Amino acid sequence: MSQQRDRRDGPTGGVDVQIFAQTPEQEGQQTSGQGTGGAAGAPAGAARASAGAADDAHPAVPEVVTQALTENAASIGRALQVLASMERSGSLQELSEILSLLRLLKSALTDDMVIGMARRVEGLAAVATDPALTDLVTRLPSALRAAEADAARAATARPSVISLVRQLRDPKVYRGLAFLLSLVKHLAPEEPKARSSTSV
Amino acid sequence: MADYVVHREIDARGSACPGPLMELIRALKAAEKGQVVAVLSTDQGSKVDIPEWVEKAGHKLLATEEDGEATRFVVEKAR
Amino acid sequence: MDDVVIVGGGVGGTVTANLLAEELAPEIAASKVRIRLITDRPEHIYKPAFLYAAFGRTAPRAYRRPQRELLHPAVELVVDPVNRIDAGQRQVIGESGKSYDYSYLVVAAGARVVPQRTPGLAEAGEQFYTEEGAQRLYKKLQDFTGGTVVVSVIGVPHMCPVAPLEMAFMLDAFFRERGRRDQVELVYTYPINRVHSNPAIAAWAAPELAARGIRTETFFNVERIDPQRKVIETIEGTTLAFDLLIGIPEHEAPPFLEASGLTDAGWVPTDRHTLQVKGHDRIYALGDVTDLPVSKAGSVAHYQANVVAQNLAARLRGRPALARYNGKTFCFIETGADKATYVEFDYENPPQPVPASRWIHWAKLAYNQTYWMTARGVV
Repeated sequence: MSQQRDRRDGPTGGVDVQIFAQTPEQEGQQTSGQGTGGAAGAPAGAARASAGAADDAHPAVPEVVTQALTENAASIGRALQVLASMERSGSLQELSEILSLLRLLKSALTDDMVIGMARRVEGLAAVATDPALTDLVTRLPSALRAAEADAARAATARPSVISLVRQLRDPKVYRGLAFLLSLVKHLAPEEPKARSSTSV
Repeated sequence: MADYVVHREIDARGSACPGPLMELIRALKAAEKGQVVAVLSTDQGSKVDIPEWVEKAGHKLLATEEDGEATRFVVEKAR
Repeated sequence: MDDVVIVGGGVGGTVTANLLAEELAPEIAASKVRIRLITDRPEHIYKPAFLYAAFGRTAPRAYRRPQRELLHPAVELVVDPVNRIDAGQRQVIGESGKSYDYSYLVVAAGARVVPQRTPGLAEAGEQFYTEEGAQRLYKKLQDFTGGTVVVSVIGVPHMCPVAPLEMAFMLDAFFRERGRRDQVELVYTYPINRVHSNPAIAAWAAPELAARGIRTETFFNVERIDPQRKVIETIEGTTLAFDLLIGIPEHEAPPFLEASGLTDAGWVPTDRHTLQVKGHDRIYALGDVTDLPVSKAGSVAHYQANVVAQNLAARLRGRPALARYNGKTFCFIETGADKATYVEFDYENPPQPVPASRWIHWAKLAYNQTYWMTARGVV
């Protein structure tokens, strides 16, 4: 135990650093965060941006940029002010973090998963936009309102077999009932097939 | 010829880091003091990791031999 | 009739069954194919929730669902713990004594923790890899007043490869939020010479640990734990005293696989691309149970399920099996204080962690809820 206590302030951190030096650098971000450890990731973008700047030192580029700046000076000025205010308020940081969610989705998904989801969305959309269904759904709100009104009017009258039979003579009730009965018939699942093997 | 007898040889070829080192650690844990264990690795990281661990754990690295694409590390359990 | 038997009711088995049932609907309706999923319990458990359960941030209602509700209606569910697999007879034999013939078998039986393999760990250590373990740790954390907390990775490989790091980060945040961080020393140990087996994750995590004042011990292989003195002894000859030990135990495939002669050094030897069990043309393995050098993580099982389902459907239709697994892995990493990051990598491409943010933490929380759609094979 005492041995451990002695090592507490020892060079374990040093060992780690030495090993990281041997790790192949994948990106600027791998090395940038190591120094103090506190600035988790923040320097990653900066490191990449400065590395890119050197490559962009092509003679044709500044001319194009100058021209664009002159022609759009007012717009660029306003855009920069928006950018600066977003930076001050922290919105720019939020925006960049939200954008990283897109990268997360790209990382997590595969072709199969995207195809599967698209197929399901298409399947649901096909059902939802089926003319028979949309026709029924568009008739529902007015039917509900009318039924509520009817029910409120009839609330005091006791339903009797005679009143039911009388209602059946109404051609609208008759058509509605016939429709519902037919719907019930067609909603029934297939008759279960007898399973051939019951070895279990 | 080397003057040791390998009690157990582990073929960790094709196993990615840290597989070979963990295999060696497992084998030495099970071995008796004085016994010799060899591990075959194709992982480049092993060339650094295995000698470093053997030293830290106080065992003896008897030999490091190239064997085709692989490296054979021969270790004596010294404690 | 062709019989597909899937052993395991975790994410890998469930997604494989659902994808197959959807793809093979015509064959199943015509009784040409039957799909059975055999599991040891009627409930499906979302294991990543245990990390949150250890901090009291989720409840069993949120991470348990009846397995039947998650399965395609055409999949037959059998609750019968497996006793052994007879590859010669192409049969799975249950504890009930019943046997289940198969034309193709998918082994997705997961991994289990074996703390008893490390002397003293079961008595003196806590862990969060089982539901009971997480609930016990939750109580311990409530009562913990101060001292040394050690998060020690004892067994490699283990489930959810970043969970021990997440545990360390979340412990740091937990004690800070309660104003007790100065009374707690946090130590994280790892068997090899860096803080994670994956070099890129290790390079990212080491400064993150340092920034939180979490001490690290590497080349730290636990030999035994002395429960009386509360001391860890390593095979490197060092010792480490603790007041609370959270030890990541050794893992292994369920014992029935070893009894069936389907394991090598604790895991099922599996082809890294086709996911067929080596030497067994008609048996596939996926998820935590394989010996593949990939993470034992739900995302891996999910990606592999796509490959196995496609190849099985092709073979059942007499077509060539062309789908291949490329090692793809995706893991969220909770970094504490309600922020998270993630890594994505495969056999060829190493991970590149991104800056942690609350948005990613929210994406993880949202995923924890929508997991059930994943299990159903929807996402």
